[in-house]
Amino acid sequence: MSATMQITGRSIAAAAARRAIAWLAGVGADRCTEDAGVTVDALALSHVCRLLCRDVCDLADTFDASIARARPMPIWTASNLLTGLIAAAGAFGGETVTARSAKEYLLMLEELGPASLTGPNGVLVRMALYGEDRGIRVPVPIAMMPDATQLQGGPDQVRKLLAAIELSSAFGMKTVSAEPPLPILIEGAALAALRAYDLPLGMRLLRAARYLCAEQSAGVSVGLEFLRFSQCDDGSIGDYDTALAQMAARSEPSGVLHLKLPVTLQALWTMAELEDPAFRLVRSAFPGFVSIERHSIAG
Amino acid sequence: MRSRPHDRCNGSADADCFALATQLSTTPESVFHSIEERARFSTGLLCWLTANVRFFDPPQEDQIYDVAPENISPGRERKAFGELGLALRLAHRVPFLRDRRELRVLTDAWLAMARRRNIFFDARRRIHLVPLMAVSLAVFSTLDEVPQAAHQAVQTVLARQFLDRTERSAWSQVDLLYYFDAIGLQHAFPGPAELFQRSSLLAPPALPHAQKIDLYATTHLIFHLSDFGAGTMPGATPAQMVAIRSYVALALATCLAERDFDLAGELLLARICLGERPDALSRFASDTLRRAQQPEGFVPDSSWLAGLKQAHGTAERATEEFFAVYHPTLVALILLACDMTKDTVSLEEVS
Repeated sequence: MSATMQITGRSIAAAAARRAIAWLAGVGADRCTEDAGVTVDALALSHVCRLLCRDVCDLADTFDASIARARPMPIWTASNLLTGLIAAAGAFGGETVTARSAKEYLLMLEELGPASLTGPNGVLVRMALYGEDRGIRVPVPIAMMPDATQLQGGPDQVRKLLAAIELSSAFGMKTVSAEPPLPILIEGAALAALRAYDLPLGMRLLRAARYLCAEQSAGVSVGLEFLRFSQCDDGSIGDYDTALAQMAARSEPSGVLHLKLPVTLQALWTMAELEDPAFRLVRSAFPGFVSIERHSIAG
Repeated sequence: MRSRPHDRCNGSADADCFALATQLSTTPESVFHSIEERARFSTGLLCWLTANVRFFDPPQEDQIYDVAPENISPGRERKAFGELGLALRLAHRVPFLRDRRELRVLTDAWLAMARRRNIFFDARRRIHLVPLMAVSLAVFSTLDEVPQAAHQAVQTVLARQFLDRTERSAWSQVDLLYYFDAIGLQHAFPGPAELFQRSSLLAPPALPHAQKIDLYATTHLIFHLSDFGAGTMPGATPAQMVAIRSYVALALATCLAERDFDLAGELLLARICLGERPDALSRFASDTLRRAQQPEGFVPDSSWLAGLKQAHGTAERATEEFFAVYHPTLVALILLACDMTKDTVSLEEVS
């Protein structure tokens, strides 16, 4: 039974990342810079691949360089906050135009005052700026004890529950305990979302299940297997042939990158966190840029 | 505020409810949070079933002339009738349920309909109805007496070396085996232990891809192999039981998220049949079913929740509603019966 499958290390996520960066390189910088949001999504995905599989660093660097030539100053806010932060993290450091642009974006976020950012986005920004070693300067408010009935209250209620878990666990950086049956109900909700092919919601639920319980469970194993087999032959993740055909039939511009880049990034992130309970994307991606910057200035 | 189910029943229901609650309030074996909640839930179910018993009426079997007997297929009316019988058969295992007025009404009505409709008519040629006839014979064996002529007719059909020799899944064979054995029919099916080893219970389909029918296969295999919790899974090793329990628990959590109360009821029932001790998941599931129960007393299925298809008149709408909700409601009654069986066992053990 697949539920009892033993998982060690991050070999599944690393293998998936290797194939994903090959896909991204094949798509090429021209297509990835046609749209500001796609550019940021592509840079973020490239960086996640780099984080999960050291073997692909050269390929990711080459891809990033080709993007930088076509669009030296990405609009970091063109995608969602997390993706923008990961993309900026990948570009941070060095003296290229893109690196300086990333630094300016991150320093701008600090000037805005991360304390004023509430909810999971606030956690992400503080993690990006200060990293785990410096702690989170602004205490994370203790979320209300998650209520299992929220899982049956419609999409908005489910998202509130997820936000509460992400906030209180700082995306898995802090231990949060949950009383039964909440963990298995979240796993069940994740599988229900996967059955409905709502991949972003299903993956978010799976990560939340992981934040509540570091031990391997049937739901987590099944979810990981589902994601593993969702990778296409070209290395992208998610089967959207029908949706893309429908867009083509309506003479709409191809949305393949809009659809697949975020899903592929989230799938790699989710696979890595499910496969390796010690891995947290926010820890790997965000070493604390402000701290690094101040240290380099002082030095 | 909508009235609760038992408010609409006649006066004896509340008294029964209280009596049940008083008698059972000390058992720790129930999947329900409180015995009072369980009693109210059961009252609602029984009220709705008694109020709608006419919809379970099967066709008048000896007046069907326009279809060749070999081509008559069960259809939803006969299926509903057989399933009511099965639920009554299981409810009769529980003294507290057996003694309830509503159950006596339902039992009398079922037996009367079976006789009036002549349900075993032309059994030797109506081969597609034989499985349901076997169910009904099993029901008769509990509620009354097995009609010997019908029993002999079904045995003759089996002796023709057809019904138990066609290609069937382990699920289908286990279903039939359960009823054939219950009424002592001779057949060529393998034993339950062998069918268990061949079944999908040992290699279940991955939940993100499993279809509803796959999950019904899981629950039905468990129901019939365990005799609805009265026995153990034949030949199952402890490791196999752990894996099956894990799968059923996750499937239940998935169906709860999908608000599929029919399958959620079956999976919760399957947990009871597997001998799972009541835990937080089972209690959450029973709470969910209780909250889903409508003021009329029925438990809706997903088609009812999604809105019934357009019906032209009041009568047609009532019929469509009945067929949308009767199954999860019967499942809930069987769930109660199996839950209460644990009480009975523990009370008998105490005495």
